[in-house]
Amino acid sequence: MKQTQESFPALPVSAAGLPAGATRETNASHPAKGPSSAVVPPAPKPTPLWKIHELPIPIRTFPLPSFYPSNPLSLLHVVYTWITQALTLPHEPSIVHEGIWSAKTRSVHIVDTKSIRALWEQGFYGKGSLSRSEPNWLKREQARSGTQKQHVAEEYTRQRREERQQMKWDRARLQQEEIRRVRYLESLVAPVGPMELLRLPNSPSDLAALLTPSDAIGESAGFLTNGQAHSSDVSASTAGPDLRLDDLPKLQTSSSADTLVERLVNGEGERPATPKANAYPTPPPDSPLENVAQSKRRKSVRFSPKVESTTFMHSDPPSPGLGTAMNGNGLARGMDGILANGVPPQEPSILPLSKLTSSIDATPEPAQQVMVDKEHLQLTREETFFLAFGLGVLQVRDEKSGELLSTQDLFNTCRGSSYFPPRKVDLQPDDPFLVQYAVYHHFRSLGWVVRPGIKFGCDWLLYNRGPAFSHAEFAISVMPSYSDAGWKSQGRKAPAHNWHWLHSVNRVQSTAVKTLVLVYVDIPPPGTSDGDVASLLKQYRIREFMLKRWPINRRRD
Amino acid sequence: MALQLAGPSAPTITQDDPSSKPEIIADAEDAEADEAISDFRKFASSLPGGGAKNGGGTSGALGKKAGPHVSGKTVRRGEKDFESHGTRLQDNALETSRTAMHDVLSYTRTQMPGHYMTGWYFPGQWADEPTEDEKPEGLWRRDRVVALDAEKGSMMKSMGRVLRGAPKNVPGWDKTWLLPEEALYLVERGDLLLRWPRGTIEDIFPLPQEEDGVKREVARGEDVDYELGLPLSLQAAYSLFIGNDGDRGRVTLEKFQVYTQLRRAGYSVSRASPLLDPPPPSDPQTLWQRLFSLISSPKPDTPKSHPELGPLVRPGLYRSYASVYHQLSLIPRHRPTPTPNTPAPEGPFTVAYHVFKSRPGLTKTKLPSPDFRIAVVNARTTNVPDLAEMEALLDSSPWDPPNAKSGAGGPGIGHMYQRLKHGWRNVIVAVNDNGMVSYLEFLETAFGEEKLFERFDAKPHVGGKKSGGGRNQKGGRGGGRGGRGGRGGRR
Repeated sequence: MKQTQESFPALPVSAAGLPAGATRETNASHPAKGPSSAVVPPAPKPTPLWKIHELPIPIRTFPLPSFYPSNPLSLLHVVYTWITQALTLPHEPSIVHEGIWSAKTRSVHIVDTKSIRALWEQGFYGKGSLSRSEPNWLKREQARSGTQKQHVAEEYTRQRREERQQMKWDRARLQQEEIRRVRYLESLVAPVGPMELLRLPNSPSDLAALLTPSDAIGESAGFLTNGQAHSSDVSASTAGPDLRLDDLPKLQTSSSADTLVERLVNGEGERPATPKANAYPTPPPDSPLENVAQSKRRKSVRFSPKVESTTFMHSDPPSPGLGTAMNGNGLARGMDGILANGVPPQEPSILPLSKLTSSIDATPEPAQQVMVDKEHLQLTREETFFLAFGLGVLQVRDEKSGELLSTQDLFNTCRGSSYFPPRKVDLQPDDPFLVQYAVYHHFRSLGWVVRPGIKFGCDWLLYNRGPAFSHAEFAISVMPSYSDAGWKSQGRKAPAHNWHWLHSVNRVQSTAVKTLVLVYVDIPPPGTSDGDVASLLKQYRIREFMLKRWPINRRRD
Repeated sequence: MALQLAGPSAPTITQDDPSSKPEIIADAEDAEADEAISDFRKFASSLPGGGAKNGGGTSGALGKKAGPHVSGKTVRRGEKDFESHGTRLQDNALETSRTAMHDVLSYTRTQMPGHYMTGWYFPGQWADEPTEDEKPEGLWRRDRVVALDAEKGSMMKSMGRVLRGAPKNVPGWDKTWLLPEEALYLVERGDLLLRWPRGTIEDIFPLPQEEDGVKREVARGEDVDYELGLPLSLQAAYSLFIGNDGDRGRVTLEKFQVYTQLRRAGYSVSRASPLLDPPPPSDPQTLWQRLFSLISSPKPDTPKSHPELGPLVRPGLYRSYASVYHQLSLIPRHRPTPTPNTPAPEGPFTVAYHVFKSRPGLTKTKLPSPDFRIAVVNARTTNVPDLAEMEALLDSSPWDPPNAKSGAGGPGIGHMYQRLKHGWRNVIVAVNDNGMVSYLEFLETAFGEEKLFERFDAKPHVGGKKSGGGRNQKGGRGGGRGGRGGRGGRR
């Protein structure tokens, strides 16, 4: 598991299996420290956003204080500042960060915690390997385990989603109630229309068959008087068999540990508990009958009230988190063995239910261990090259040799790896990297915060000051253009986009209240890739065209 | 006597279909903002003679009272129920709508004599005139193929032209001549009876005799007209006027559909003559500004030399971010100019129509500068324009930089967004996919004109308010529909 985690750092974090695995590792390497670590430190006073992101780029400026002619003393201040700066001679950039070029992920990894924070805070570069964008995996984990009272943006997002879900559910409930009300009122009126008369029962047997729905009418009448009482009935029809979140605390308080485990194992009690399912932590792995019968069924398993539920296939090996979380480090090696072999060993995983439940009471909370930050920052090629070539605040080491890459080497590496398979020769001025980098550099050099826009179906998103402050206002789609005669003689053309593509992209942007900008990059003639980086980049020509829908009915006045 | 326009009643039923269908869809597209939602039931009740309650078979009764205004109405979409929930209320609503739709579709439009004009199809009359490229005057003389007996009705305020400067010894020189799309649109509306002349143009529009100098008018009536020319059906009109791009006296189906849609939406539309555009305003520099600019040449955008292998920002001490970003400037930035020297657009990406918002005092002989310029392309045979096409298309439209008048004069970030979104030039491209038209506005913008980094040297706001300005007029989605079916969230 560790191996996969490192070679594919962008694994989705939402799968609860990953944090659980990480918890297991911390657990194994750091034995319990005792009750002293249980004290929750008070939440520090939050630093204001503008202070965190004070520097727009990782370079600090030293403006001279302004001189007021009305206040002669301010001249002294100016002179003093000037003299101190002349003596200390601040040299920016003061810190040059270090990254590692990872050929597998075609990105640059930053592992030093300070560098990660600096690059994120000063210009919003990169993405946390275990996070959606800001590298805050550790913070999130701490907030989740309760060791730190922290505010995590993902938590707010989750809350908002829940609220929205609740809102939709309430709306659906109101609609259903209204329909039931209408149906009830109509049931009071005698059938008169031709269709209704035709629908009347023809024989006593028809009438008997109809009695069940007439019960429903009576029920709906009762429902009207009772109000909330039947709401779960409605939810069953609208929201499916999922248990509502509101029901969860009720469920937990009412059930003992035994029933809790049973419930969790049974997937929220969606089917009656059988003895076999009770002993689920030790399923007979080779019993084909069970596997064939149930391999298709998805089960929702919940380990403890704190850990989020996740979905497993029935044919999966017994859940690793359950054993380790409950039983401490004794099983850790065995679990690793499971993971490595893919075959669960019989002996250590057999756990009587009684032992399992007792271990719940016995073991202290495993989440209170000191956590190690497992996250690193990933920089895209464009970000890397801008930091190294544009700002000079980044040095990149090669993964294998550990040597520093020169700017030219880094340039060639970035260009070559933008092809698949990566190439070392035959680099052209229309390398995907170069075209994208021209656009990236263009907007970064104007002061925009540029972030990848794949989630919005475009190439880049433009933020003013950064994603922490405002939404992206513009979405960039890069359109290469081969207008030089040299390209035309080669027959090289930009891939044609049809109108459906443009409309889809534009539609996505307008639902996200962004404006689509088509950025055409005119590529210099073929063969100009020799020469230095700066003079090559100067030959690109960039034109921006904005796109808006023109609603015919709203522009008439 | 009521005259049915296009012969038998079967074509009249379907007559309205090709034109009204796109509008229904276009309306559905914009329904989020359309507060006034109506449906077939309301449309049926707006028809003369009652509508829904009559239950069909009333075309004869309707026909008596029918006026020409029926064709001016459009159907908008109503509320949708997504599943049947078995209430009588829902069943009734569905049944009423169904009946209403049946009534609407089976409605026969008829025209009273005196409510329509008569036009004569003379395709060859102006074939020898100069083309619009040779003599741009916005008249499109060669393409005018239908002569009207007399103008009638308010539609003619913005359609048809008398060809000024035509020699007076040519028959029909003082008549109003229509372009193919205008004639077809009028036929579709039921405002024009098109006739195929049996004889020559002299028979229909005789010139005044030399000797007496008195203008002779042939006494005309239904019977005489029939002697002179055969009435043409809508189908015949389509086959006469719809053609390929470049055919004289014809219009492509895409352009015609866009034309009718714009007309029905209430705009005035005229064929574009791009060369007619006024010359860009000369640089409004005063003498002082010019003298001043001689003394202090503006600081160049990009530094003279760059370190070849970077870093572009030379290590050292910096007093301001402006000086840091000045060194980062490397790739040349686009500066919009009022007088670009790009070649004229060719092919489909050419402005086809000038569009005017309806306003009092708009006369067809003296059109002001258009509000919008529209190019029409086929969604299936063209692609998103490449750089050359885009440049040529936009540079053919006049210089329209953002200014204080367009509400973009302020220093705030919202005003900056406004300036960028206003653009320096704009053209609308109507993408026509077999009658469904999507209008996209393309703007030439220049991010290089707005240097965001100049704000970095200002002192940060203490308190760190979120500065999400520039979000005017977009109050999120879902005001009318309760935000169903979309999160509307953004990051």
